[in-house]
Amino acid sequence: MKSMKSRNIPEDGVSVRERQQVVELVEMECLFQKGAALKNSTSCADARNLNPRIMRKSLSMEKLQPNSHITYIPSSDNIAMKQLSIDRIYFGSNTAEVDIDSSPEIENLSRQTSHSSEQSYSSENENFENTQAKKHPHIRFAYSEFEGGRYVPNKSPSRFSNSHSSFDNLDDSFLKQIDNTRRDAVMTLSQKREKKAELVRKISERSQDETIGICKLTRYNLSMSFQKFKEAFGSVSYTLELWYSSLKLIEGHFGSGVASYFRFLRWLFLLNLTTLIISFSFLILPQMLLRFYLNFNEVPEVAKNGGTYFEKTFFDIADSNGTLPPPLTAASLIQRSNPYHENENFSWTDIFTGEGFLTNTAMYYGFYKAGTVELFESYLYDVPNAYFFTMSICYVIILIAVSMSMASSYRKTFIETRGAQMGSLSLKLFCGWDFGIATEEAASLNRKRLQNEIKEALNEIEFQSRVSSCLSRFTNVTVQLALNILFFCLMGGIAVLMWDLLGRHSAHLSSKSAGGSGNTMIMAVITSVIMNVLPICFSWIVRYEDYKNPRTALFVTLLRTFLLNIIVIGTTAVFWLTHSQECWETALGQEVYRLFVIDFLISILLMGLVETVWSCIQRKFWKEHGPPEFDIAWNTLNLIYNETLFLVGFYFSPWLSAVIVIKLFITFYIKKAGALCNCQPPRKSWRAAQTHTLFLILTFIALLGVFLVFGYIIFRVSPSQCGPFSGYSYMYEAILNRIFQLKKDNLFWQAVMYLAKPGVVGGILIAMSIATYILRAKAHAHAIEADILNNMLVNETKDKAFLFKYIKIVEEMNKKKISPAVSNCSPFHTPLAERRLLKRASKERQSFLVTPRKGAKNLIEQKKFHSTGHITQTGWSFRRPNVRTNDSDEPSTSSGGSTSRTTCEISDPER
Amino acid sequence: MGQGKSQFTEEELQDYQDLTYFTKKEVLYAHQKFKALAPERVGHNKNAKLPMSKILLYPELKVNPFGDRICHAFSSSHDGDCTFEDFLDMMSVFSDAAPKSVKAEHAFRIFDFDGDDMLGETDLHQVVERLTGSQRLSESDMKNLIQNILDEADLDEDGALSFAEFEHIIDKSSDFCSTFRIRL
Repeated sequence: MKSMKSRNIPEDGVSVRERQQVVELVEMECLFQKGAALKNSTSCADARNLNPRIMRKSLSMEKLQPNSHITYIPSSDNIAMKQLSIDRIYFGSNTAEVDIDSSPEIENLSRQTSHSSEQSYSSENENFENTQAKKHPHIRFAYSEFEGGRYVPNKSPSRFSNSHSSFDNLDDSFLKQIDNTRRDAVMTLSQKREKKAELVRKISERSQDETIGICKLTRYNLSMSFQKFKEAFGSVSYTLELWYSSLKLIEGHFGSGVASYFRFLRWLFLLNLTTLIISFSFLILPQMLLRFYLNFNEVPEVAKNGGTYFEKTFFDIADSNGTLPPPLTAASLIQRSNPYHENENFSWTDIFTGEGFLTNTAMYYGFYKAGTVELFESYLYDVPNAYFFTMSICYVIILIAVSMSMASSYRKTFIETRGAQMGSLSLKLFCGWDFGIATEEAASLNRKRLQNEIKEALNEIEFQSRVSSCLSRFTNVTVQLALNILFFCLMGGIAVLMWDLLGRHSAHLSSKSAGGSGNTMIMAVITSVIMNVLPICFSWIVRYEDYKNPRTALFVTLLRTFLLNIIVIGTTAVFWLTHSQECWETALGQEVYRLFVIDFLISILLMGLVETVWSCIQRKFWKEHGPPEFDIAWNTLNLIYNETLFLVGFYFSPWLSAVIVIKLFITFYIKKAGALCNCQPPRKSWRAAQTHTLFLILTFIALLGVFLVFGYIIFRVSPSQCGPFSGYSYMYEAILNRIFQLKKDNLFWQAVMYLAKPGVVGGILIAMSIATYILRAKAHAHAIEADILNNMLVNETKDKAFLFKYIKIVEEMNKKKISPAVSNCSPFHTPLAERRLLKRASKERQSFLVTPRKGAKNLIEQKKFHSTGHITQTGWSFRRPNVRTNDSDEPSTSSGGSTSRTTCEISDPER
Repeated sequence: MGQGKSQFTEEELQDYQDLTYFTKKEVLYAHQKFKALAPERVGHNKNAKLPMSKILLYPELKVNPFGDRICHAFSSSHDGDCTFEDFLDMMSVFSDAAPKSVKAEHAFRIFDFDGDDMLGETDLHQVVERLTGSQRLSESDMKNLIQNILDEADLDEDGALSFAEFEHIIDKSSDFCSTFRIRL
């Protein structure tokens, strides 16, 4: 400890870092003093609440009287604003530059700091380790010393040494944070550079003769190398960002709405790529190796051994059902030299049907054997284990990815921006322009769009004030009801149709009649056609339903299309689950595969072709109509449909992950080309963030549905005679018995059996619902509380602004030595500027105290708070002036007069 | 442009990396873009000051109705001419990594045409006019619009939006970060 101390503390006893911190702190303190001098009567802690911009303004305002208050208008309901960190005030206020060298007082202060720090240094070093652990954001920490009043530097050295000890928990993150704060500062880059250079120079000037301890040095080095690593990683990932230039191009042409579709596509692509990598390396590869391994390595050796050969590489399942796998003869071993000798011959239609040759490959569930693979010498690889764990890990990864991005997206769009409807017009104005747009065409479209939207919004505001007649409402509801009934009938019809088609297909399969692939494909083709045609009908139908809000209409269409997806996929899954036949898992996998391929052919290739032709025709014949728009909703729902199909099928067909990855990859390029060549940006605005959240939620729901289906499969559907779990009556038995090696009488097993009872499940569900309800109620209560706080904040702001205006008026009058009485009798003696001021103040006061603004509902609510005396709660109290409301026709006179008659008393409780 | 070698030293790059939201690589890329605006000037002076007309050649700024305002807001000489550092600063604020609050501050300065730290009626008028461009709103619509905007956003009812009020609006918007962005 001692040696460290001596090394750390040179003559004046301050290390580099501390010095810099002191300099920073002193600068801040200076600012605070300036601020506090301006707002003499409020405590220094209040300065934290100041908005930097206003602070800056007030600092540069010279006219302010020494005892006047600074008005401050926090972003009313943004409570976080209150916690405005001190660094932002410092760096945000570039108009109030503080020259450190020129101020002897500060120089003095920093010297003082040095001495006091020497006294406290040893104790600090002892505290060093535990303070390190805290890692508070240092500036705020240091700031806490200033709370509760102004800090006078040379009055209390002990106090400062206290504050100084807090410096020591500033470590390397400090520099980074300083950099960050500087980065966030509103200065030009050159200013920031100068600032940084200045600070660095100062530090290096003062600390040439200093050395750092080994401990600190290694720490810095380590954190620096970590920093470097992070930066290097950052630049690498920047290079690796998939489809970066394509996305930029699309964004430039179409704006962020269309780009959000492509970003969603990329996200799905990466997610599925992960599952592909996992499933390939842990499941597909070992199983395929087994086939080839048996063929090339085992055969000659076994043949030498004399003809009979028990498949030793397969797990001995004698203990479970008492039979051994049939012994292999030499003939069958020779046959094995072709790994796919059992398969049918390959024909090109198999690519579309997924049957024939492909049936008995690693493509499907049925191929995976319930046995152990001896990959290397005495290294056993258990296939059912691998199957179960790989699949569950893949699904868990998907679940985590979807739910996390859904949660963060939901938080960003709906929770953090709660009440967005309130400022819809101003949002259109300030967030309306997509700064990413780079082409003239898109820009002019954007202009048109904005104009339309603004007009629509204005109309809507007018429309809302009107009440629609009873009759029109009635017809509206009737039409909506009728169309909804029609929709559900249609859904039912589709389900029946699919069921029928599937039944025929399965009959065809079981009879094994040579019907060719036509019968097999018909169901997939019809389904895909339905999937592509009906959404267009839906968006057409919704126009007749006359929803007030175009967004409602969009959501209704999305929901319907999503329901269609669910019904199509659900029917397929249910059919194969209930019609269990030999290897129904494989059959289900094949069905999904067919849907997949046909959907690709129809919705990507065929629709792309149709789109191209259509846009060519339109360009030639209806020039005024323009090319078709890029339909984000429909395209994204198609992605979700694909993803849901994948989620259902992946369990039964591991190779499906490769298929979807390839499909998404090709889709990206086709869609990109199609969009750039054929489409124009959508004319209606697309609230990218909100709809993206909706899409993620839909994906999540689909995922949950898939999990439900799997739960059902695992517990209630007996596996067929092929696949890794054959030989068990239910899959969960296989999982528990085989994979977790649990016997029937095991405690865990009993617990599971107990939990699987319907009563227990029901109880758990009820308990969960109650918990959800309670949490929901809590959240609701919090929301109300936040509303109340918001309103209080707004009112407080208004109070302060109001009071400040009064004080200003009084001061102005005092300054000009114009007695209020004089101004009362002859208002025109006062200069014009002052009259304007008075007029404004009087208006303000009236609107504030007397007349609520029309249409401003929340103002009335505020009034409630106002009248219940929240002002005293916030620490301010004032007696309201006696306002005469009937003298409003002579504003300047009345305000002058009322001011003179008013007793306006302000008391700050802290003073 | 003839030069394969970078015009920057490692230190400069480090500096830029510390002071902006870019990595070194992105800084270099930004410089390439900057250079492409006026190769003959930037060729020998990497930090050459380009007139606003040159900066406005940048595709996103060219079609942006507030292109000149953006240049003004970021110009260190306050006349719209930008050096590379100003340009880098601009791109850094428009990048994905810049936090909402920083973007909001700059957006406010862009929309504040008369520079009085308030968005008054004239400012709003100009904003609307620039946004809609040739597709003009009628005079009554315009008045109506501005009135509505002030109604919903002007909390202290002084007839203009202060920065705090502006930030409040921006806070409510989920799309602001994705629209107030220029990809490098």
